[in-house]
Amino acid sequence: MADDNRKLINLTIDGKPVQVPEGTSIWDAARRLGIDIPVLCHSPRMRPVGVCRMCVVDIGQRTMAASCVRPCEEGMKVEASSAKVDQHRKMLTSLLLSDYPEYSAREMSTSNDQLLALAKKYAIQDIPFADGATGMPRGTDMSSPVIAVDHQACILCDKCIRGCDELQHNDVITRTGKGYTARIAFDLNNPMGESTCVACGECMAVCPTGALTNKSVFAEMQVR
Amino acid sequence: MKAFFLNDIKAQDSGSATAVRPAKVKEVDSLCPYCGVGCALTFVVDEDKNRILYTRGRDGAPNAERLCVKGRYGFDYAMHEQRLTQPLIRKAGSYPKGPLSSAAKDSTGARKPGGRVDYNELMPHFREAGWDEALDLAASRLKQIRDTHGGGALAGFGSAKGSNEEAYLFQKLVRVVFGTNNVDHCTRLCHASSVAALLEGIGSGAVTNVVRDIENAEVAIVTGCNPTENHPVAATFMKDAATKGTKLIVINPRRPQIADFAEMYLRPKPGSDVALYNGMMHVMITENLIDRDFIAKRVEGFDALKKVVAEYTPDRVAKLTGLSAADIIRAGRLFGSAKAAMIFWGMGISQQTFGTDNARCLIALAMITGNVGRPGTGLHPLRGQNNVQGASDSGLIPMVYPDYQSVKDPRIQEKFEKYWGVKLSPQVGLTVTEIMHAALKGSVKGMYMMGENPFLSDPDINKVRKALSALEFLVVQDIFFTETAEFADVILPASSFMEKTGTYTNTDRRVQIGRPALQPPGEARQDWELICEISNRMGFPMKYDSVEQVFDEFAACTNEYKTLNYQNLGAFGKWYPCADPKTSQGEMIVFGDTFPSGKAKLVPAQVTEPDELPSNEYPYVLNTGRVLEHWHTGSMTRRSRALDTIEPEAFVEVHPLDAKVLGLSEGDWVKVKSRRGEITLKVRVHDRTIQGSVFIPMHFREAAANVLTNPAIDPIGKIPGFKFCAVGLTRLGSRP
Amino acid sequence: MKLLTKMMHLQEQHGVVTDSMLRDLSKSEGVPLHRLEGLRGFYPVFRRTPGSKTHVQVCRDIVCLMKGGPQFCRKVKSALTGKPGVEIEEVSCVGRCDTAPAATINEVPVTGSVENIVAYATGKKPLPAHVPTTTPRRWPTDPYTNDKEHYGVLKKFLKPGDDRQRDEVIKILKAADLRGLGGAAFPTGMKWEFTRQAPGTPKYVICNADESEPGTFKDRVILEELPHLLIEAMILGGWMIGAEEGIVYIRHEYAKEKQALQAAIEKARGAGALGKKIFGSEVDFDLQIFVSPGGYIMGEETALLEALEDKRGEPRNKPPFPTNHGLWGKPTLMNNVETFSAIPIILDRGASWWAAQGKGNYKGLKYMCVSGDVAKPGVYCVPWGTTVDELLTLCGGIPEAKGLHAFSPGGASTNFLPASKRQTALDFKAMQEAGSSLGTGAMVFMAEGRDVLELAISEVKFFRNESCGKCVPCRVGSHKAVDLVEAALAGKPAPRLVHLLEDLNATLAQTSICGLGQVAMAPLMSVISYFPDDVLPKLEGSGRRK
Repeated sequence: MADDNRKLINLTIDGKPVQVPEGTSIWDAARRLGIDIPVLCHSPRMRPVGVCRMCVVDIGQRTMAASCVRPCEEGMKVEASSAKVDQHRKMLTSLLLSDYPEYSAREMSTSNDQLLALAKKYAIQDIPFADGATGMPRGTDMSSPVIAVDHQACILCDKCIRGCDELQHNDVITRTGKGYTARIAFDLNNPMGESTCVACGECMAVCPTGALTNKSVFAEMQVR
Repeated sequence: MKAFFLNDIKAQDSGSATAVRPAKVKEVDSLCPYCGVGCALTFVVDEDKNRILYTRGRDGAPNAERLCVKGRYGFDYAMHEQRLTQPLIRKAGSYPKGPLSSAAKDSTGARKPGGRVDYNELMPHFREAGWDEALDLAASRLKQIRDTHGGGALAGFGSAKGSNEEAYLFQKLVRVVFGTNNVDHCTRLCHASSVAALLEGIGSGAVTNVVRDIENAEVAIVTGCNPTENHPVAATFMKDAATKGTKLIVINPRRPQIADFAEMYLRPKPGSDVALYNGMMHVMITENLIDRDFIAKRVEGFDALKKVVAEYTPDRVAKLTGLSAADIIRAGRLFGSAKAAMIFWGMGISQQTFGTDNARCLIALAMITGNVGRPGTGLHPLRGQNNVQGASDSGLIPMVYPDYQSVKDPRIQEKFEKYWGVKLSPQVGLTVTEIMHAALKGSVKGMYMMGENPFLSDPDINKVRKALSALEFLVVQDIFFTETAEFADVILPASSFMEKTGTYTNTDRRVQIGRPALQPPGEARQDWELICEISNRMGFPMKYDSVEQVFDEFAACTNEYKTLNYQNLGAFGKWYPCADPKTSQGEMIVFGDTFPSGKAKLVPAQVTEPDELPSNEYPYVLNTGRVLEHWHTGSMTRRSRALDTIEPEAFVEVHPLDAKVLGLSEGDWVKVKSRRGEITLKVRVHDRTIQGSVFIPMHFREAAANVLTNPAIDPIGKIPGFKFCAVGLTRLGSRP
Repeated sequence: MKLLTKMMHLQEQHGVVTDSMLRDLSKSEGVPLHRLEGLRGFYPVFRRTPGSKTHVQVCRDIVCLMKGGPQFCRKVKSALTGKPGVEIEEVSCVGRCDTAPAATINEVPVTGSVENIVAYATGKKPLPAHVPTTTPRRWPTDPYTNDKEHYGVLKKFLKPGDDRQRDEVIKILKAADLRGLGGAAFPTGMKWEFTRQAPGTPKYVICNADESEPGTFKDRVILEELPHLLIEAMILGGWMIGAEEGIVYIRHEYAKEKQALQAAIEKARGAGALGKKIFGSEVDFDLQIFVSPGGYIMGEETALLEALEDKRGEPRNKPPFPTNHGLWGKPTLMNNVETFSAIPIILDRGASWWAAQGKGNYKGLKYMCVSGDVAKPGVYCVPWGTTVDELLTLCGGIPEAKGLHAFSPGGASTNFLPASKRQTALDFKAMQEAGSSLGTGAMVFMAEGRDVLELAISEVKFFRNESCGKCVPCRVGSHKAVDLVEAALAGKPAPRLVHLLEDLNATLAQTSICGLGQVAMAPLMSVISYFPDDVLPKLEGSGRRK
């Protein structure tokens, strides 16, 4: 989006003043100041959806604002790094960890599990919630030749859906179900390897957790 | 339980090895080796084991971190155990030359000519040799042919998948050392007709606007191409534009997936393209949806064009194309009323015996509406190979030196004679298709092939087999033992894309650097060094300290590349032309003021019939092409685990109504026959293929589409009409 | 609406929505398969596999829990297990709390004892007729005495029909201080003014008739007995903002109410109140009913909009608000049934008359739906400012002469208050000051002896069951909150449980996208605050579940 013609907005984030074109999100404005508000469901490559709530900031209103979707307003005083805000981020991370599988396929293969990175950042030692991962009730799907699906590690961040449908326009992935048992699905809830998936790998690339990872390249290299 | 893995984070973090990831990895910023989109990516490498673990998309100008299945997962071919690792020399007992693969290795067990390559069958005919022996043999035999019969008895096929540096050195070798202009590459089979028309029409064969400029187009024609499968990441940007309001007019007798995003999808009869475009221009001229100002200032030949298209009334065109007059009018209006309209095209336009005429029509469409030189306009022949643009720019073409400077022009000849320090031939060389004929006749006796597999990619491969067998001497330089290499006298093991440094020019005119992530296996060597070796051993010293030096030499003799070097190309490359690399990324859009030829020249086209029409014995039109998961002759992709798993077998796609008539069901085995040969393969029934036509992908050695295709060529582009010949189908049964 | 309407039609015709049907729909509508799966998987009305001939759905929420006992669902299930052609399912509140315990059989509401329900389900008794009443009651907010007078207010304002009339309407609504009665209490005059001013076209008027919170059934009665008031107000709304299309989004459990509304719409068309050039003015406006494919969250205004746009009913982030960016991104006026239905009389008799209907300084009349431990549960139209105690008396008091222990004044999300607060006036501000909220006006009375923790947890379970799943705090947090309390009641409380619940509640309240997550734990926290002697021992593990 061209900066040029838009009105300029002034606000402060963590006490620091910043000026941005109208329509800029608080998250983007913070980045300009070098403040990296933690995110799981957001990427600058995609439309923001504000579902993980990790990026919440205090703007002095009744509820916190998800900075990735909230546009800056003139005179806003944003607290992005207060103890109160961190408390929420820690709580959200703990909630997600309570259902997370013991080993992250992502951490093991590409070392970039973003949920575990947050766990480390917030030095989470104990999770006070019931363990939802025992017995891996959400299941896995190994039908794709290239991508391993571990529903237990899925945090329903919607990135694979946006990657597949809005970046690659392959239109394969959706959420199905509702509430606590909501999960991602391919086509009409078919196994990934039997769906219209073209194995572009975008979903795997954007997934922040071990839900969608690469199967090993060397699993069965056949000689022809 | 939770405490357990939290401790593990620390363990993983400190770099200890886990089940999949090694302790230490290296990241190499490079490119995808496959198509002309030229996606930037990063290879993540286990250096100790010399293997690539996975790839990650980079934020390159063509792809914005997006990749397709080939770029994402198709890199493992480079590590396949069938990589050539030693120079090979044909044993004395394996002459006269002929195909060495006798049995097909697919599940049919049937013996077919041109069957699948089996190393167990081939290797006994060759012996491993040291580099000196192999190179000396190659150089001496080529030299002998040159000295006895003249340079014209030699020819070279360079590679559109190799780097600019390799292409430049290769054509230099052929011109300087062989003493002939008989150098060509697979562009001949691809966009040769498009480039011929563009050079004729505007003086430049490169695209005028980059792919992603479609976001600025109100309307875009996407014709004769299937970008979702063959330029997948480019297609994602077309779909972005379509979802944001750009109206696509998709034209293709075989319905491409991108038609799902189209404002209009037109399904003309195969071979009726010229009629359709003339019809659209008829509508546009009649309704004054043309840019008279632009025509007056920048175009020649409008009146002649107008006269010709006047005869292509919507009703006449409807009869010729099988479309409705209403659709033709609507398409003409849609394109003509747009403020900015762009034209993308592919093999459906170019791979015809009238491919040049087709491209002339597209050029005319753009010119009479003033749709060039502005955002959201222009002509974009989607370049297939990752470096076909660069290979052509580097002069790997019989009619021109680097940067399309004509070999016939004495001043140009003098310039290059000075630059290279030898006398050069002023005779236009033979093209790929002409070289095969010449080999069969015996006038071309020796060949050097680098990274090309004409045995599968050329039309009428039974004839190609005879031609290759007839050669006195053939050097094949490649990474795998290809079908073509079966006819070689010397095979030189070369470097894959992942093992070399080089520049590659994508479909957008973007020059990007590819960097090595692996060490070549065994004794395999860098292609550019091997070219120098042969040159040296044939008497012309070629010595460079680095591949970068080669680039500098190449760039200096061109207009388009001369401002570029490895420093300013950096990690993300530049578009050419780039007047000031310090401040600019290069030009996304060109020809805003004038064309290289001054004014654009319109050349009207008349409908001509395809060379070989359906008949009683051969009632169906054969359409050939590609699928998403495979690349061309399959040397790379059929050795990639993921790609080969997803799409392991050959097929012929038949329309449901044709299937009914032929008594065919999904999965049945069928014999497809043309005047040139026959193949056996499985049937897929789908209505995306137009009734009366069948589609066979070119990739599968055991059922090679090119056994059937017609070698008749377009008179100007010299490109074979891969998209149209006549075949008959016979059901064999539900088993092979 | 198109895709959901087609899918609901398939469900109705075939009792199931199969993959094959969706493949055909995908082709005919040009939408990818995943979109249809997303809808089929989200909305409760859709089934992947065919069901039994008799589909029994038993309510599991607070009032039915009180009236039927905690074993009610289980008893119905065990009585019907094995009976051929019968399937039983527990569902969330079906909106028949005045005749609790409630169930539905093939969407027909039935009530009473387990025996009664079994008799209906096994065919021993024919299902009761489920048709609208032919004798609707007269209510104090209806300015009309007979059918022929209907739409008189509309005629009055549409006659001149110009902008000064619109200004006048806004003025009256503001003076009357009418507020949103679906729970949010946003000033109606302001909402009408903002939507009128909002740029964009076309605009829409939507009535949120998806009342689904346990204990809430007031809109149900208004829909059945006063639909003409709702219709009239929507037409006025359309005229106000410049919209030509109105939609009533009604929950599928209100089948006979929908019938009543449909009949009234047809009557209105016949009378010239709907359609083109209404009553000879330049105003075009028409209404359609959209039946919800199910789920409490559909009552959240942006989730409702998502459904109308053929998407999963997951609330949007706000801002922007529907006033500016509503249906299809256009300005949308959305009000609750009761809010709309109050408008004709206010415009007819004026703001002062409306004010005078309230007690003391309070203004207007409020529809309260009362259930739980009362002799005469039902809908009562009372003056604003009536006290909780006065309302209880009006409803016949608590049966068996028991004392009042607690009450929940405004719906499932509102804090439980102790009996000591019984003198609180029914008013938004007053109830807030008392420590709760008037919300929707759904009053549930709880007699002495009631286990408020059990009842509060049933409300939290309701929110957990109805969470759309989009955002982390609500989806995971509501689930873990219930887990924590159940673990405590089973004798294994987490360390520092109350502090943990407070922290968890703070995160849900502060970071959830929509109201559901924000209030999901509120009832639980309120009983911890107001009934500590009762509740804390249970949570700390020293008390036992009864």
